[in-house]
Amino acid sequence: MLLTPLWRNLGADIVQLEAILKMRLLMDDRKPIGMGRTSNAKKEKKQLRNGSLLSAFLYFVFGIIYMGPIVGYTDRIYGLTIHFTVLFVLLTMTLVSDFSNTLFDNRDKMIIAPRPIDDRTILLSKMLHIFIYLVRMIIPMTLPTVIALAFIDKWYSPVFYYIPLVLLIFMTLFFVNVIYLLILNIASGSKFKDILSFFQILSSIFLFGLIYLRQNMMFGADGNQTIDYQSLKWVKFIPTYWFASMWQWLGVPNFFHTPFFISLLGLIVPIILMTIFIKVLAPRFSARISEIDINESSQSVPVAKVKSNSKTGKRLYERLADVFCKDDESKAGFMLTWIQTSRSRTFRLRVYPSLATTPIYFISIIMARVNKAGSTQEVIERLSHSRLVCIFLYLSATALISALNFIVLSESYKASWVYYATPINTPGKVMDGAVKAIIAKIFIPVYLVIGIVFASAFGISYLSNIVLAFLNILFFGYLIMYMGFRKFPFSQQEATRQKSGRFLRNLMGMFATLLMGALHMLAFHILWFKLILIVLVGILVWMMQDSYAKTPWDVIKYEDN
Amino acid sequence: MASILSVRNLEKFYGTKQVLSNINLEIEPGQIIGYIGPNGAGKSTTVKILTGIIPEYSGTITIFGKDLKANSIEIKRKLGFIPELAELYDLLTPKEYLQFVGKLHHLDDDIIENRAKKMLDSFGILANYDQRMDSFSKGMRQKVLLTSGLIHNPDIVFMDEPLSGLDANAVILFKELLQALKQEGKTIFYCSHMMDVVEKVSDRIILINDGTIVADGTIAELKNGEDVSLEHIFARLTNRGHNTLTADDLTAVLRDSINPGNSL
Repeated sequence: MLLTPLWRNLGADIVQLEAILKMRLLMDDRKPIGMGRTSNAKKEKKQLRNGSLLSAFLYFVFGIIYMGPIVGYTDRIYGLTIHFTVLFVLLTMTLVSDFSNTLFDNRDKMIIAPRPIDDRTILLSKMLHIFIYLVRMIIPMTLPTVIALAFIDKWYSPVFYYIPLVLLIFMTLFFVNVIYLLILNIASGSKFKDILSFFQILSSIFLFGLIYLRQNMMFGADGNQTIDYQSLKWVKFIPTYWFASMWQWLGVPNFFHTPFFISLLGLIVPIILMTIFIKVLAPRFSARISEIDINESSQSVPVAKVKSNSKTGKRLYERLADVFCKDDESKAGFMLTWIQTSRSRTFRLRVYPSLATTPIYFISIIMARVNKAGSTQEVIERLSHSRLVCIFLYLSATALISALNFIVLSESYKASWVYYATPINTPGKVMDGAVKAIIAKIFIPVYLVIGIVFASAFGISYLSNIVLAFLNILFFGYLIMYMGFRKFPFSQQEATRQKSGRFLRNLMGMFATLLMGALHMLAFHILWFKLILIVLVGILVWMMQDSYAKTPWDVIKYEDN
Repeated sequence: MASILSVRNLEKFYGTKQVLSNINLEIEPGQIIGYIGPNGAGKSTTVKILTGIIPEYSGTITIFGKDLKANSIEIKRKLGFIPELAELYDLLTPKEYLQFVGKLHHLDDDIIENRAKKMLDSFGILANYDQRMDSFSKGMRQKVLLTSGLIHNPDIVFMDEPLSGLDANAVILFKELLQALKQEGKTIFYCSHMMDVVEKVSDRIILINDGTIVADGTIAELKNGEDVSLEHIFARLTNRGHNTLTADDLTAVLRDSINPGNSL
């Protein structure tokens, strides 16, 4: 093992440390989905082994984006400030969300805890695990930047780059610990995990928004003309700027006229923070973590209570199930899906961020248009005739599709035996109930908001477009379900997702919908054509839904483990 | 009396591996059947086939006088199943889960609510009716599963290790429940490793090993006049008489590893 004497000096049992680390890294590699890793490229076991390589490549691609500001701005310090800020946000997010899994991973607790392993070895194994993870992520991610710096500056600039980078990691660690301690102070046990997942959703929306709404700045489209140094005085209080201003030591021209001591702050502050972290925060932190462990192990204490209003009658989803579904089977599917999608952390994590993408796309396109034009009235007038803006109605399909893609998956997939042991005549009914729950819960509210915005901005005459796009998206949703997901809701293991050829099916569905969308665009200015399309697509959606709901038993097979 | 469940020449393969071979059973209504066997003997597979979960098998299964393959939906209406390992959608509350299962059985909301509350009350977990099950202990989940398997008032109940995770009080209650169900004329097909319970509650015991039935009869018939426990009979029929030798071998391995000098 690398640096064995160091770990030994720190009090670790090398054999045990190596064994634990090996096991953990192996588990990471075999995990179907990790932060920043996409899973559709991994189809077989053999490819799964290349998980690390694949994620390295993906990080490299991300790294090209993060390199943007350095290449885009001739002002090195300004570009580096943006670069470090993005890295800081990204690292904090990754550490907060993904390392919660590492830090609070209790799966191997039953295996490790009863063995004669001391706390130092366990703590060190966790820290090293995080460190290896970070290195695996940061090296490929910063590679484009390093190459760019080598081209722009001299050879020593890329070498120097790693000094502020390490200090940045120190600072990130400090902030992450502060965030954890704050959350731990207000919540414990499973509530802690709920808050974490909420944080993850918020932060991914934030990053998405940052990239899409600020892309001009990130890619430096306008170059130096937009930088107004006088109005940017506040930048001196930003730690990432302190790191960037270290480049003045290398003789890089400094347009901000930053005093020398500010660049020293970048060196001193992280070291002070790191010291506080080791001396003060870390002990409290590990104490808190062990409290969480205690909470988790005392399983007999029920925590999450669901508000019951049995006296006041039915709950909202029960009423909606009555409206949307005719028979008991589809009502059962509807209710199960409604509840599961609210409570499953993984589902929320995967789907809810995509809900935010639609408004962000929308705002970004509107902003781009508004920037170019005169009065608000003129802008609205022009937008209402723009086919491009109409296409944005279709972007709300992202929410529907991402939710539909996940309704057959569940961690408690083994509970699906219940479908096979009960007298279900037509399995399609349960499945249709599930799809309807997603439409009612996720798609309709999102679309309603967009529809109201469009209708109030462009007038009632725009309603034909809103209705037609709505039906086209529904058709797309049912088409995808019909082609790829004729399975019971929450009945499949996470890892099986890769086998299903989901990408190809989505692509085919996308093609069919593109055709429908193209027809919509053709009919954009012709009302009667749109009305005919509305009737036709309406019939198509109804037929599609009907045949999905009639999915017979022989299409579904019980997968015995 | 006519059989309520009849199995003729049941065979099941997983790929090329045969897990059940030539299973023949005639079960009369109102009996408690103890279905026992070592790990991997084919107990769970039998139950999954009899409950219609696994539809692929060869042989004939007749339940309530009807062929299972041709009438599985109709038969499932009157079957109850309580699986092992407490697998359920644990993000739901007992109320929501039982409502879900009840709907799949076309029960009215009022009936579901009424039965669920009464049954959970007798299991002592009514206070947890509106709590998410992800924080439940294994025993609590098992109680919800027991309720879900009985809520539609089935005529035959299949139970696969129903006692796993239950505390002593719940086990007593469960034994009483079995007797009460029997009084009601229900047939119970009960898979377990817990020999003492099986011995006490079963009218008839079927022992399966390597996918074949190796013993079938009342406990008195199995004992055949000998003063031995069911555990003993089980060991004799399934362990090929090598029990003591294997344990000795095991300890010898450990002695060798602790003190390598021994192996030289």
